[in-house]
Amino acid sequence: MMYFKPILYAIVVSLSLLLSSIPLKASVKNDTISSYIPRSFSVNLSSRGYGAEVGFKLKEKPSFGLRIGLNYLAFQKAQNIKMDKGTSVDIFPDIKTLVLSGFADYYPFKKKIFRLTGGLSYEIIQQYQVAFSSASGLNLGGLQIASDDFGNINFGMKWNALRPYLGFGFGRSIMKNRLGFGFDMGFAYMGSPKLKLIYEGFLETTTIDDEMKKIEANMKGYSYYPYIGFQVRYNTYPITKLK
Amino acid sequence: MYAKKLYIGLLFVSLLVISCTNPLDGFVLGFKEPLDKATVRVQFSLPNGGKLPSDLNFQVVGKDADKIVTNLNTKNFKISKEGVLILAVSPEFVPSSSNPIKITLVAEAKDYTKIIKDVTFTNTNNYSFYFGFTQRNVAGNANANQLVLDITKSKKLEVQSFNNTEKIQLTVPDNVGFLTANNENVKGVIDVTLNHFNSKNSKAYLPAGGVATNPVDKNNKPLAEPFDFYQTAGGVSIEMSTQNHEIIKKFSVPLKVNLDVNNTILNPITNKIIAEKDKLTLFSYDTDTGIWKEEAELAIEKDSQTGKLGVTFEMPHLTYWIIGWKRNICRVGPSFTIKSDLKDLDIAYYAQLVDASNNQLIRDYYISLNNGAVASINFIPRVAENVKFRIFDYNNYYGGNNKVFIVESAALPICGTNNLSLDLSKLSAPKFIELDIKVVCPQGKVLDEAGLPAQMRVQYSEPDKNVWRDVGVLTRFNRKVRTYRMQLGKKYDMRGSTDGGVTWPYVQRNYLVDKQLWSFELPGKEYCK
Repeated sequence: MMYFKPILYAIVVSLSLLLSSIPLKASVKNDTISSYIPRSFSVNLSSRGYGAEVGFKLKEKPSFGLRIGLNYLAFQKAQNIKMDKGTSVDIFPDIKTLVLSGFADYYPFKKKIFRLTGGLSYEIIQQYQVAFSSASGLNLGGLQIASDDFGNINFGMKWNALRPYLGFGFGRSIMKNRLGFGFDMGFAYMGSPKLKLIYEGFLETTTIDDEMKKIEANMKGYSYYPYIGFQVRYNTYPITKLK
Repeated sequence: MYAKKLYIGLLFVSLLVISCTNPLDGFVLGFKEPLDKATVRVQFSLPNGGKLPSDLNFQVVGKDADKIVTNLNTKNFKISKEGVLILAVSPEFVPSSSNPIKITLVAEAKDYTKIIKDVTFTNTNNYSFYFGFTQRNVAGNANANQLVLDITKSKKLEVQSFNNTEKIQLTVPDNVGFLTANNENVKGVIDVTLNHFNSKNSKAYLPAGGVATNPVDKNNKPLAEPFDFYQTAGGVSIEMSTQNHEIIKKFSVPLKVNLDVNNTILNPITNKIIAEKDKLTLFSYDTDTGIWKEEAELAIEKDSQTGKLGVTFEMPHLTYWIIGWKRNICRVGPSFTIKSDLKDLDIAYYAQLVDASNNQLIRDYYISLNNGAVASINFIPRVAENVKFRIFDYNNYYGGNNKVFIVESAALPICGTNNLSLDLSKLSAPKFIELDIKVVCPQGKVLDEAGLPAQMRVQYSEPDKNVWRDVGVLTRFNRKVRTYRMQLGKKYDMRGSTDGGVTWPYVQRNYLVDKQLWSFELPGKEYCK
């Protein structure tokens, strides 16, 4: 329920952007359209989940483009890992992210297909958690850990919400047709992760708290979120005979 | 062009790869070493069908409560499902007589009377307490009540117990001060927990078994002889604490107590049914020091209106108050030295003390039969002139023959210092079982002792009975323990605890002990290096 508000907010912002930019003309011959009017809409599937983008082209600088997008990813399907002698561990992932991104594209070549991209994203919802329990208890080579003694383990990770992005991609800035495709690859810098482990059960008798500090130190370099995305773009102003 | 793209792609992938190390590099999940100094082990009763009360609220309060942790050095004061909690003074603090650590343990549940206990650490010694939950207002031979006394409004507390046949009444004098052990005057609303023991059965509820080993008189001078009780005529234990959990120990002016006495009980001195003006003695028992005190001699009074019998006395402090008739007992009796071929038995054998004139049982015991062990018979009533001591081949773990004794001593006086040797060299030693921790390391690796638990307490039970008994404590450097408590050829469940016996997460079930060595196998290569 706590995530309903930001999702709703993101949807409203996206719809507003979409509605405010319904094209008045089907196509143009000369690129005289204001920089503030969206030139393309796209849906994407990426390592940040699925989402939508609105693209702008700078009138004064035709080698540059701007994109604003929103991506959502959620995974909450419970997993059951079979262990020895009919026992199992239940895993309950709770992964949910909603990312608002702004990209600036630079097209260094004449054909304006290859682009270098820089940007900034903000993770509105950031939840990377996983819970472990064992309804059956565990049997480790004859040694048994009852369900109550296994207890409940909750593990979570958190990175900076504000993340600079650097990457490259393919996709025409000035599309000849209504429909086009795009590809992006790059990484976002997230800072070092902060780990959190809450537990009750047999872990209480172990040195797990000290070991978590080691894991956090080992993961200090896990600061780059790889981004690979594919877009299907709809061009609001296809320039069919641009000379 | 393609080479350029490939180069950029590789650059990105390389950046990601070189920035990452395996998160589990150097990860070794070891066992915490439980704190074993300045601890307090609390065992709660499990009154709710083998479970703790569902609404149990346990608190550690007092000025030093923030210095208390669990024995695993956490602040998670969770009572185990078997009712065990081990607390400890945080290792950052060292209690001493000049810097004592004072805490109060409080356990409250709606259907049970409040449990409250002050604990003071003046050194690193350990404490152990049993906290039994007593259900409120349940008819029986003892009647437990919890009442609220607002001393600004009320001057009297009255409890009708045992189907209204016996009542107890407390009268609070004007301007009385309610004092803590440190003579601090406390105010406000007071929780009163009162356990009333009835005339006929109060003897069964006497603290310390009703044996006063070092009693004192009303001026705190030691009495010449220890005593127990012929008969008791009733008793009460009262605890008071503020709703902020400050324990009241005494009063500036004694409270007045009226305690009814059932008019059908026998006076053991006159050997007649109790009557008005009969004499009996008022005793108190201090639960903190374990000392019985002969407080006063009282006379039975008769209520002119109801015709009921009772006594009236003054109560200057809170503890157990018992009325009854004492009998002196022998401080020292005979002792018996065991001669045997046994030396490390961890089981005890059944023995009887009988009247030498008629072989009537006086008392029975479980004693050690290791060579040189001494069974001392002390604090015994003078119920016979001479006694004999009998030992049976029957132990407190798996029984035996408790009908026919294997050794009987000659007759000795019941009182006085006398010693006899008892020869048990014919008794064959039972077979022992050795228990060890076994870790199988992968080839090329050896056991890393530092990774093993500092200690593992081991218990066993008959399969699926869930009635656990101690086997011993294995340690990191002494991974073998010998016991006579289990038998070869039988199946057992076994469990281990690495946190001093609070939780028992490691269990081996239905294990057939077919050889004298039983290995408790620890899985995981993390114990190897």
